[in-house]
Amino acid sequence: MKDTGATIEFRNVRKEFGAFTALDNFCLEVGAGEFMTLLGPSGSGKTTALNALAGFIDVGQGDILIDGISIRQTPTEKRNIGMVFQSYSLFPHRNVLANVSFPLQMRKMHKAEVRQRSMKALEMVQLAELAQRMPHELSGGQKQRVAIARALVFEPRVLLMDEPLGALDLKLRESLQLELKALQKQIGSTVIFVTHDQGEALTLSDRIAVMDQGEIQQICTPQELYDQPASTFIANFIGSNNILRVGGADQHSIQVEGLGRIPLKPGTEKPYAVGLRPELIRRTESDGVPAMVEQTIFSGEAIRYIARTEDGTEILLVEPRHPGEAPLAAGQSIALGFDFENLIFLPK
Amino acid sequence: MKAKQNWRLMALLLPAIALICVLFLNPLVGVLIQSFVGDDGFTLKSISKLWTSRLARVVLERTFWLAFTVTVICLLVGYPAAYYMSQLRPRKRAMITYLVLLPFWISILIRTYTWIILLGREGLVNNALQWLGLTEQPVQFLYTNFAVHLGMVQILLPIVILPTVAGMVNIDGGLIKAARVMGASPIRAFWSVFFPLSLSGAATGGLICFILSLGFYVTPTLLGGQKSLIIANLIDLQVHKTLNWGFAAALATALLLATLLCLLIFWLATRNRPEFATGGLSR
Repeated sequence: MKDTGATIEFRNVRKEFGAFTALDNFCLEVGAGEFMTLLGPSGSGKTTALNALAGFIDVGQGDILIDGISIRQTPTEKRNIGMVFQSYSLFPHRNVLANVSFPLQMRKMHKAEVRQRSMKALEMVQLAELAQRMPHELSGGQKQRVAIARALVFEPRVLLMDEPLGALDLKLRESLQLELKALQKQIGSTVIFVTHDQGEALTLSDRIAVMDQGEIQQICTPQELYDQPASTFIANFIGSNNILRVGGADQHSIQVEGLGRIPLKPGTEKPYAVGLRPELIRRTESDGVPAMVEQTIFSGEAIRYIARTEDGTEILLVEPRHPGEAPLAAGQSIALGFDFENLIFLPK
Repeated sequence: MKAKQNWRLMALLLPAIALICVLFLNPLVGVLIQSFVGDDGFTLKSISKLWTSRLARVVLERTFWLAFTVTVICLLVGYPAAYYMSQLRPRKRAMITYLVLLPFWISILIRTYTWIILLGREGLVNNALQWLGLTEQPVQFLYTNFAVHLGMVQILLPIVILPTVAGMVNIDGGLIKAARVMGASPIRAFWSVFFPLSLSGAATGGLICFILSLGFYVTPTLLGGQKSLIIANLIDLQVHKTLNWGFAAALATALLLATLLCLLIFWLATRNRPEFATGGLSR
């Protein structure tokens, strides 16, 4: 991997639209060459952050730095940022090659070099043979490939992507995800990727910043986010999870619905709720939590069971499927086993 | 079943088709026939006069030149106004659109007479100029090319502005952002992205303006006087004064063919451009 990416820093950025606060004291540091994803529901401020970095909106307060230098006074066209938009934003009056050439032409590059570099970028996304097509003659996936080539053609040190795969169907999205990741590794740009798709975020990112209401709720690697979500909101948002309410507590243990009494490590505070990943629950012969299968869901590589414990709590568990083995039927009694260290203590 | 339904729907067009046949196609064919009929049956005399008569040639040339210059002026004046309108919020744009359309509430005849009052020797403009001391003698505005252009541009401007605005509003604002982030200054983003994409709407407006200008009658007659005869005046002259209906019909046919030719050229020039396919009106 080449080290050509720039560092990016948001310092206490605040942006309001009327009474709505889109970004509230927003701080974020992105390392050189890092793939950083802003993940959150719509209205969480992730696109506002991207637009502020691109220079489409002025920030009210705070500062944005690229490589340690403030860009607040730099106009959009001088920021040297590559960007891929959800709506592709290909120029409809220019053919594929002319679209990809655009950033180089704006940089007043020599004609022959423009052509050579544009073709190279198109080869990178495997579209060289469509160079003379017009955008309206392309499929959605091809359009987005052209948009990616156009964003990368001038080898920007910062690449912004605003839900670039959102308009594509699932299969195409998954194959483009892998391609995108490979391209980024090859080019080494620092990437800020905006999405509301948690699966996409987990697949692509070096780090994920979960945003809600203009603030970062948690920022860490995909694995940490999955294993140690900081709140019920995140635990629910990332993957599937059993969120179990916590009842009474004493110094040494807490009462968790469905699971019963759970020991509490000395010095830890009583959590708001407890999370337990469905794939970390196993069926045991005897010494587990007794429950009854209510529903069996076949999902290809795995089988999901919805079980109900004796106190009426619904628990989801996932098991890898073993061919030739019949799944449990509804009404069957089982015992649920789990390890204490796999429980996620959620503070809110 | 489907076909039957289509036929029923087509039936809804019948009144309109009937109306066009009786009131439009019928007289049109009449005119076409008239241009080949002389005192003693079929003749090519009237048609051939189109290129043998110096008067016809001069008037045809003048008509086209007038239509062309009026269209160019309308585009030059209308484009910036349309750009301004396209950048407004929809509610405000609707308000300005009403203002642009306001002159249509007043008859062309009245508007043309108003120009006579304004531009005459004792008119408002001349009085003001003299009062300001800019001129000793009244300036001859009326019965000049200037007055004809002024009157026609005033009437045709909305017709150029509205399709141009419609075309501009359809341009995806994200494209301009994309151009900016890729290194285009606001001015370059305008010329390399916005302007080419706005041409479809402007061209539609210009085409309508040009075709309407070719057939203008009242305004050039009243503001241009006798010196600057155009084709509509000449046809009128042949019908009412010299009673040469054959030649009048031939002139009318020439005007019709010229208009169709303009449409054909426009179609040929734009058929491979997707952004022109809708004439910039909608997507």
